[in-house]
Amino acid sequence: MNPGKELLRQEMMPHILCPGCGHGIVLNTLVRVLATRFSSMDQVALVAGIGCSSRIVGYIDAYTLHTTHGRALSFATGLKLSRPELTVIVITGDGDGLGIGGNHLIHAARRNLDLTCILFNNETYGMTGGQLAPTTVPHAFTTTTPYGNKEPSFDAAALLKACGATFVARGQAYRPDLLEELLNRAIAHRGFSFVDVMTDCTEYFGRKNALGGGSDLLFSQTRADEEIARDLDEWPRLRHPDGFPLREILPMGVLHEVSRPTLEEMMGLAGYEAREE
Amino acid sequence: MWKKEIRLAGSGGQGLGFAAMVLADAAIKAGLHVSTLQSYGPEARGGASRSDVTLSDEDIANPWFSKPSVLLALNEKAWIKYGPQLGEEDWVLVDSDWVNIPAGRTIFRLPLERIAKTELREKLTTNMVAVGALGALVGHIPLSALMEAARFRAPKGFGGINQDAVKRGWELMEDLRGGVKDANARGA
Amino acid sequence: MAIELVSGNEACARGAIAAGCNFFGGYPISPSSEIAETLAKLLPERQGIFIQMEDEMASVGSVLGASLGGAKAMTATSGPGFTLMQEHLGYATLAEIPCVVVDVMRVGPSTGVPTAPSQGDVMQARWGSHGDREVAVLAPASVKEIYDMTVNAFNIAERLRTPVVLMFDEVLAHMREGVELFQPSVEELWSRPRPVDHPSSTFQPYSPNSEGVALMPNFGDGYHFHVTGLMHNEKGFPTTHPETIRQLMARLKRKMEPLPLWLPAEHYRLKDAEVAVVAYGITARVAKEAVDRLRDQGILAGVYRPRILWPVGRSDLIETLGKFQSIVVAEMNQGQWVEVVERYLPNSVRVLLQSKLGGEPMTTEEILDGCREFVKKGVRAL
Repeated sequence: MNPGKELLRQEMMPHILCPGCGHGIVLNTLVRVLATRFSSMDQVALVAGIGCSSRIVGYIDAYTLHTTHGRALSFATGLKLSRPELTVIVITGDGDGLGIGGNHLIHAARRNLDLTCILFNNETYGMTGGQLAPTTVPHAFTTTTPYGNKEPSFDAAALLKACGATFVARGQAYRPDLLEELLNRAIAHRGFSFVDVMTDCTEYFGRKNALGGGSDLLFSQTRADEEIARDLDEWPRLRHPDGFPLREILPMGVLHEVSRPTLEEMMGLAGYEAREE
Repeated sequence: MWKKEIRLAGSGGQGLGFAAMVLADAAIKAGLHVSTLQSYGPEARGGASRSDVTLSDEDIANPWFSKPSVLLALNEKAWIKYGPQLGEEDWVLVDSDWVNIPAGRTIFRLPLERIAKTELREKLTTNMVAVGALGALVGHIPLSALMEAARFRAPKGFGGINQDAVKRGWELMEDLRGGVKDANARGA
Repeated sequence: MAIELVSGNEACARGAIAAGCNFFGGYPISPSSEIAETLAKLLPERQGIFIQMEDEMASVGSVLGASLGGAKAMTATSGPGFTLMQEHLGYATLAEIPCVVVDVMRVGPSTGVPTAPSQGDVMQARWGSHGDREVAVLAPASVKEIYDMTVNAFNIAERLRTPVVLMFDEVLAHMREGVELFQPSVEELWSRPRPVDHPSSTFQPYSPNSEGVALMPNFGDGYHFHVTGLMHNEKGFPTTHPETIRQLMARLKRKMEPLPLWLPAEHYRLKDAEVAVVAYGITARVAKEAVDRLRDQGILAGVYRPRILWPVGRSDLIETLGKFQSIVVAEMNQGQWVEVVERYLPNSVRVLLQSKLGGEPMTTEEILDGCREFVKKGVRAL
């Protein structure tokens, strides 16, 4: 029995996610984390942009804000500054957060406002039909790269660390236990926390690249290194050197964690201390 | 209805925006209606600069004027740019060391910058000498109001010298108007 | 209070404070920056929040987030930034989030002349966002009115749960006038309708009251609700049901209808006038001077000045101007609000556009020229 079931808005069901999509596992994990961490959702706001991942905020019975494409973090910034006592969690995707919303993401990390940003990284634009994303690996086929992707992809975790995020982690849909721990630590962290979650799009990315169904994709994540990296610096050594690794060897776990005054503290905002961790 | 459209023209850094605000503050104290507009953007920090002040004893419908009725020209460029617009009854005050035109019935010449440098020992007060002189020229604003405004607006430590500069400008203009005919000899 | 020398931008910032604004998220742009600079100083002194965002899209995003948290929030920009804000203005309309956006108009298109005035954003304010929506756009014409209308803008935004745009131009923004600014009383400040004693389990966040406006709890007040830019039902959940969408769109339009009555157009010497000049913002002041001069020459002229550009106060416009044979519409653009005048007035009214481009304000002489055009064309002997 899932302890978070009562947090789901039954009238929003059925959800829009495709069979085999990894997002459901992440949603499930998030709901479990929320249900165990918080006595009620009265102090929790979820803010999302546009895309498959962003739709999931509507399924959770909290203060939920489904904003515009890429700009969830700007809404979350205003909300958190006006209600510093709230726990504000931003749900974004790789296209939403790193493509159209890249500018907001890097500045949110720099400000170190006490937000948690969970990026559902499925390496494609799912809702619009499987186009090239900034995270699509080189050579992969998408509907807008019919000859294979010619561009290098973003490493979201490295980017966010460079921008000043004070907590950076990476998890997988394949490892909900690890993900649960990461989400817990990210929410508890005071400052901008970022979790890059590898999750798969079977309908578009999987199909276009002949990777099989949902379970095939999920199991392909096992090729990622099982070992939990302690630090981002380990990554270059672990990374697949060339070619088209559909599953690059990515470091998982908490990749970066430092303590720095939050923007709320710098501004001396009343009520911030009351935030439930 | 009494109305004066005053244009303060010179180069960026001469404090013409500040001068306009002092004039306007003093005019408010004197119960006049007032509006100001000043050049904005890179102009204000170098190159040609101007500030406009409209004073009236009635509501000012239109704060923007294409032609001033009183012109302050602190350099030749300003005179060349705005001088030709003036009508026969419009007044002009020029810095006599920088603008080469003869004095006349409506043309007043004072060595504004030189007075600031030699008498007040602060070149930056040129604008306040000009404000004092303009105040005496256009009337309707008492010297005390101008001096008070010059002190109120001044950065720290400049209140006293600003007041002195305004007062000196006022006196020079009164002298000049007392003997407009031989103004050339005295003013320059 | 005493008369003091205040610029338009400063009056706007102080009007916001007077209205109870406690959040500003903005991005620097000429010629509006002094509004942000003034609020950066004033807000923190009053436990308000000032934040400089990374761009104009984020500015409005932060404003909307803050407003959902219960803040009275605003931003200020100019043409290029206003263009970037359109997406979130549409969002705010559909999600019904109160906010105030100030657009200090400068010469465009594109970067244009950043330091010179225009009235070129009038249609952008109306139609700039995609989709189809009703908007609230106010056009003050003096420093004093910028202050007062900033308060009005917050009041309208709160009461109708809508974004409100306040637009003026570079000249009004930077001119200083001797003005006396009055702090509005508590009764004069409107707040958004809030749920009181509604059980949260049955609360419907988009169920309207008699004014067509739904009650709005803050995030954090205990009412868990969903806000989305998708078409939604009264529970706030997404829908594609055509009738629900039609009803929502009709309500969003209907709730804006009283606006022109709250800020009626100014009629200046119109009663016995034979020729009318239609103008707003800074141009209206020039028009008044032109009309005074015409009257000195024995020509009966008057000015019709809308204070609110959108939605159009149709009935007053038609009633007041429908009887004229000759109308001059003076604007610092290639003809925008003139289309409103032409649309609503009968064909018997001859409408002439007096347009001014180039970055200098309209002059009295140019408006007089416009009026004299009627003589040349033989439309009316002046």
